[in-house]
Amino acid sequence: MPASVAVRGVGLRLSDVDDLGALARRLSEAPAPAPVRRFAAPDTVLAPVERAVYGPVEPRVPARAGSRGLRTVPHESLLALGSAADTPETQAPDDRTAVVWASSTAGLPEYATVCAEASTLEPGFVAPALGPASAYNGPAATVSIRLGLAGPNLTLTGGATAGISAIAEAMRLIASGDASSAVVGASAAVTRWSLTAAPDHLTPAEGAACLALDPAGGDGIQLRECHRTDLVRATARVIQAAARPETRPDGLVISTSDTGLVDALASGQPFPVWHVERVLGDLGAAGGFLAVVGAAALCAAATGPTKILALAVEPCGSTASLEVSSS
Amino acid sequence: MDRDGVAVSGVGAVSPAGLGVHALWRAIEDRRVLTGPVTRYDLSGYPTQRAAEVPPGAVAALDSLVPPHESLAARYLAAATLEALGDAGLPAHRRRGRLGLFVGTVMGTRPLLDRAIGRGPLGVADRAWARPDELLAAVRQVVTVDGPAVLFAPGCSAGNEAIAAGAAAVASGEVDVAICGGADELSLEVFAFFTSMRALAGDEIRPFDAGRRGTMPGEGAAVLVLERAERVARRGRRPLARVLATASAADAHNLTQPHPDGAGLIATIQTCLDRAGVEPDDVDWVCAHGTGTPANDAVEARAVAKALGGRRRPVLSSVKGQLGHAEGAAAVIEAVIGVRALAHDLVPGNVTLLDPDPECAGVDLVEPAGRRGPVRRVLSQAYGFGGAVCTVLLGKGIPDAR
Repeated sequence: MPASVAVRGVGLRLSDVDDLGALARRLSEAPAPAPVRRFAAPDTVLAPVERAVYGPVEPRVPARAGSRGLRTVPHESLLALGSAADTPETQAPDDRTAVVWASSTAGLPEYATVCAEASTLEPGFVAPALGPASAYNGPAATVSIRLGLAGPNLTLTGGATAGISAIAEAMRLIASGDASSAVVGASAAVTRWSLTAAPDHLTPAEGAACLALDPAGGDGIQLRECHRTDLVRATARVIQAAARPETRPDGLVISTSDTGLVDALASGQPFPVWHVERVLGDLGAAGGFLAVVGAAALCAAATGPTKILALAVEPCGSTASLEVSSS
Repeated sequence: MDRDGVAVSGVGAVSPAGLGVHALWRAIEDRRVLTGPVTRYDLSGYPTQRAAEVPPGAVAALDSLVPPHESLAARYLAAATLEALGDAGLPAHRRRGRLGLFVGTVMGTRPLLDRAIGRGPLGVADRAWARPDELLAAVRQVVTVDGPAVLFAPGCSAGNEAIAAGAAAVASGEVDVAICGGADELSLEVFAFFTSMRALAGDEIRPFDAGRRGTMPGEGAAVLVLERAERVARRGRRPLARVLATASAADAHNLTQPHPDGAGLIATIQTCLDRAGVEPDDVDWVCAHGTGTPANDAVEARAVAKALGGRRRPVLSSVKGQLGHAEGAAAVIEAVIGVRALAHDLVPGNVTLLDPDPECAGVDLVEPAGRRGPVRRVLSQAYGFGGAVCTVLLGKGIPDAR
């Protein structure tokens, strides 16, 4: 992994958040009210449910990504494509630009729809286009194919740490020379299917975010010091960093479904702590990524050099952290 | 990557041959074709009904090896991990350095949902099918993970991407021990959509055969334990193999079709050779992706011939004719076979090959019996829907052994 990479561009497709400035403000505000929507899963035993959700979010895919065939592309992949197409790397890509994406929900409605069709139709009559879109890699594949990015193509899934690990793996691919630069992102979609596993105490959210990363150099926002470890070591690292002025961050952005953990980590800290899920909702694997983008937004909004720590913690105790700074 | 530095210290597998690497390698040596009628699902009414299943007896035997979990893939992964750690002489819980988990999958826990497919509205039990991190739940119960826990789902390149990420984490010092695995279980959803795409073979998978008709799903899990070579030596053990190089790229072409020139595959093969500092003729076996579909095999053979053009045609075979296509597990199962091929100096054959496709004439297709002879380097490639490609080059455990 290189010592650091530089953020060269950002693309956002989030509910009521269009740019880094709006994201920085949103992090510090009280949670916005979420509209109630109805979700159904036809041809299954699942009853429709009504739930407050952040979304829907419009993909706003620019024309240069091609309009042909977009109607058959899953909504989450369109959100990914819209956010990725906003970044400069995708407007003049070279042939080694990597795409690294994190999602826990990509392909889930397509997988479930194939299952429902296999249950209600004759064998062999499920829609052929749905199957290949029913794995996790739809967003990364769509971004690569639509924008012509022929570098490594990685998809990570799992919990919140996947969003930070996506950046760690992109840094690894840049360091090894597999990639000259990377388009790294994360996304989430809310469906009747995803709601079956959604925690009750968080507001489900849909959306996508993307960062264009280059080898470090020059001004701007830098990412460095990725650590992936267990909760005990991660907590010790935060406490140690806070103890000394020279290592103390200016703030901490946490992605976790455990609100009690956020309160515990925030208690007595000499810096502010923001909670991704509290203000943006539950985005699954994308939560860890939004912690980094949120930290970048806070750095961009600051008037002087700033260092923010982004941390993702999963219920199993896995953690990933990254230092985000501006000069 | 320090090319002599990252060693394979242990291997584990759950496959259609049953539990364990020994059973897997015996099936390869004995040329057993492990595809057959599916017993786990009711496929009556489907035009083809064959796949490669982990045998019911092996599934039952998991009860005594690993904790219960609804996902078979999660249990396959836990069993393969325990076998591989034991093979490496490493304890699962303590005093074995910092350990990271790098796992590839295509469908993860989602096949829990398709167990409810029947007649009429789809039944929906439990919720683990919507939680991808559940794939690692059984492993976490048997192994203490204090480093990264990363789940890769980039399509069928997943297993090799897990190896590439784990090897890099070992080389950089992020972890002392990398568990690099792949896991997928038989999915009726995959079977249903492969049927609708007319991609399934009715009798056998015949990679690189002129009469190939398609592929069949497989299942299982496999694990490579990676460590720095000197760390393995300090425990008084010999590395089983070395990860000489890895490389990743993408076709950026089409969701379901490979690039007609195999652009991504050629790029990763050439990068692997450059990084390892070896010539095309130094590769003794190309363990092909070789799915047996009309769309794949000719493109793959042409790309390999182009990327490995040396004094001799590249020696190539696919084990998918025997094992089916285990999706996210496939590449790691094939890497385990590669490790054994290096140890036993045997190139596995194209066991189901009857009539070599003239379009594949640029490669030296290994006859069904396989070939005895020095195997010093194995190149193993994986790619799939979405266009991601990842290739791994393995070498003998002792670098100078020739």
